[in-house]
Amino acid sequence: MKKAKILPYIILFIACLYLVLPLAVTVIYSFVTGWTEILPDGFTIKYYLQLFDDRRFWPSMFRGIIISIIPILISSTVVILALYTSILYCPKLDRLIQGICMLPNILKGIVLAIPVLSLYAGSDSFLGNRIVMLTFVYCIVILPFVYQGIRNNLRAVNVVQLIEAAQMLGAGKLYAFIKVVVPNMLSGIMVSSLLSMSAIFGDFAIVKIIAGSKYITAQQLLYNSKNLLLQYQSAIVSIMFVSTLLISGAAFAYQNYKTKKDMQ
Amino acid sequence: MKKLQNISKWLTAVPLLLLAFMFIAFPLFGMIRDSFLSTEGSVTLANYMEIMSKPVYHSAIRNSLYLSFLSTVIGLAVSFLMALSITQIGERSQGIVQSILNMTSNFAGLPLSFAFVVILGNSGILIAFLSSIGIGILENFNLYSVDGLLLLFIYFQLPLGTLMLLPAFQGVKAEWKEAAELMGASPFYFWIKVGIPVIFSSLADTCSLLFANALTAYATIVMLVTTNVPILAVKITSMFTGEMAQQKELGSALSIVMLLIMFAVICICNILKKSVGKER
Repeated sequence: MKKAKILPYIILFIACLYLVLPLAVTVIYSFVTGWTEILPDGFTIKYYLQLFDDRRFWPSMFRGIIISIIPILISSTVVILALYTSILYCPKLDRLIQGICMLPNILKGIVLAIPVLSLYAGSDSFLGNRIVMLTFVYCIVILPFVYQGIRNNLRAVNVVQLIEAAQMLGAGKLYAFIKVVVPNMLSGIMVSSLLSMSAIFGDFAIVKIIAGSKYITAQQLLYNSKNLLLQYQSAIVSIMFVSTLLISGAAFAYQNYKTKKDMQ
Repeated sequence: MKKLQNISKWLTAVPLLLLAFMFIAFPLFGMIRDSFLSTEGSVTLANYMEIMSKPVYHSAIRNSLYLSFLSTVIGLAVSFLMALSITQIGERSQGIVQSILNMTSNFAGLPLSFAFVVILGNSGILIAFLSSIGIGILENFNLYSVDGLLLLFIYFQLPLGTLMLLPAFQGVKAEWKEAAELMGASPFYFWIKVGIPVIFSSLADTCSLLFANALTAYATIVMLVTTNVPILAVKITSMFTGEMAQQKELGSALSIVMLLIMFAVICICNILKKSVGKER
């Protein structure tokens, strides 16, 4: 007989309350006229209207998304190319590739941005350009997502056999890789691109350090609003959170859809 | 000819290596070099001497260590309990909890610090709410102190830690527990003897990650840190980007100190992981 366990529920209830409370209160707070007693004084949407009226708001939201596109393209390409070597010619190289790609899990935020800024800020070459610097640092930031997305997809297929089979049919190795293996990676790349986008959209440390006032994303807009009314800030936080949720939600939804489809 | 072919095989790996070299390795070497230079460009140890002698750097290092260690230990312990609890509840509840974890793992950085200001800041709603119903435990709470920040650090460690540990807990088979139970082992004894050794490597990895996460946290705290509570990450950043004169060399030395602390902790975690791995 299994006795009903109540303790796990209590632990998780308290923990989830702690996690949800700040979020929920902030969203509610963005709709209130004031809140000094037990209950809010009244509700309003004027802070959202005010925010949408601000001509800087939507461009700053889009800047956070747009800046992620080139890094996603660059990182996906270089990881696929590197995996080509490691899978076909040198399996040992995979350890190194994995090591490099997982490094940004530890070296992140300021630890990535500051050395790059410090080294290239005075440079006369294209690397001295803040947007170029930002793009490349973001390439590094998203390596873990890109690598894992591609790798997880490849685990299911026997790449070497696939390529050998294609070669027997007369295809060259590279051609076989591009035509047979890369399409197998695509759904993984799709998921990791969305996760990368969400990570870059959520970044404040790197964009502030490297771009400063040269590239104002929604995160920077939020930071600059620190002396404004708390409700106004809460409205920005709520919209940013919902946006992040939509992006990463799309990633999970796509992943689930894909697994279900593959299982059928 | 053969040699040329060999080189061409490696060619496709070059872009990734180049990217990592240009934007991880090379900048880090530059930083190590800068940390040994004076502002005039001569080689010196003065930057490190200054860090060792000035109280403001001592307290920045102390505060950062305090926050990182405590938030890692508490975060790891609570994540452990949460992951363990998740494996013991119904499937539907599991789905809900996992959704909450995924959702709140996205809630970090700057937006998180604004949310904490809303509930626990100077005119925080939770504080006002509790005192209006007669509970005064938070009346002396100060979000802008080290212990106030600790609450914030623990917040962002929990979803991360739990999500990282969960796969390991799901790998501890129910049959093992049943077998242990049949032989008369208590659940506690089971976890000490079987459970924890099995998930230990995952625990050690999570520990490294949480610590690094806390030590380098910047976005989450930059708005809340005052001059009274110096924090290493914020101090370093201000030396490179601040409105006042930049102190690249001193900032580099301070960054190296931070990196050394981080790598020391990661090494300890890895050594523990290896030694437990050997025992098994």
